[in-house]
Amino acid sequence: MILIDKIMISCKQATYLHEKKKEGKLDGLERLGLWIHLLYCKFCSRFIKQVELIEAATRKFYKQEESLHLPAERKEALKKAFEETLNK
Amino acid sequence: MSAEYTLEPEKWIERYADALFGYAYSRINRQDIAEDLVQDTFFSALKAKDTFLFNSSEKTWLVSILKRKIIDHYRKKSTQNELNVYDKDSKDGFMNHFFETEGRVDHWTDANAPHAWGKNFETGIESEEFYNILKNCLGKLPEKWAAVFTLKNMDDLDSEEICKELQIAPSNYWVMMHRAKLQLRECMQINWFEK
Repeated sequence: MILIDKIMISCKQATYLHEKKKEGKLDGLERLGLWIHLLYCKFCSRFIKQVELIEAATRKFYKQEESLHLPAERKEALKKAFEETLNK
Repeated sequence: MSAEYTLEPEKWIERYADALFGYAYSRINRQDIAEDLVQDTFFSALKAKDTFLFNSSEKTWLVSILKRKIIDHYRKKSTQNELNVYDKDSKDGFMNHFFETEGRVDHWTDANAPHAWGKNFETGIESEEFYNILKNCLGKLPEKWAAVFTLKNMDDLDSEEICKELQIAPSNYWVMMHRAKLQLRECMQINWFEK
């Protein structure tokens, strides 16, 4: 009875456990429970796929750094303050 | 022959202000805080310039200082409200939005289960517009959740390193990451995939 409870997990647990699974942090029962859950739960499978897409996009996000600029005004002010400190 | 690295503080701002700002802003998503961190970095670097070991480039060194400052910023955020993320019980409004509290307890609610996104949902996901929306959605997360998500996905740290950096317990990390993803996915669904 207790074993069944451990294996039949909820969506809340499944989405949580998936996170830990990616770093190999699940024990055998948890892995089995998650595997079974994802066999029949289309929402959780969908959740995982969609989140992975968003994460992959986030990893590419850093590229955007190169197109960003410190606002000119702030840069000038910073330069001035910095030069003053340098010349002290 | 190895390259010789030198420090030329008088040229720092012209050379690196934009790069450092880009680095900070893409991780913090708050213009004012990113600007302040960049400023702090230059002044801290100047103070610490005697500790420069000449084994990395000037830029790498400055970025490493900025990185510490970003993590310190996250850490302050994560200790301020740490208690809030521990309540995993069913009286939790955030979780109740996604998961049933009666009947099929802890399964997706009909209203807020993930929708199937259209056939062409991958169209445009590397466009500037997509990134603006992603940035907005990241900006709406509580900062501590955004911190774990960002450190994991932009800085490629694993959970143990992140816990160490932010000085949080592993259980706290998993809870925050779980919630970050629940909220972020829904935000992207509403503002991009089903727009």
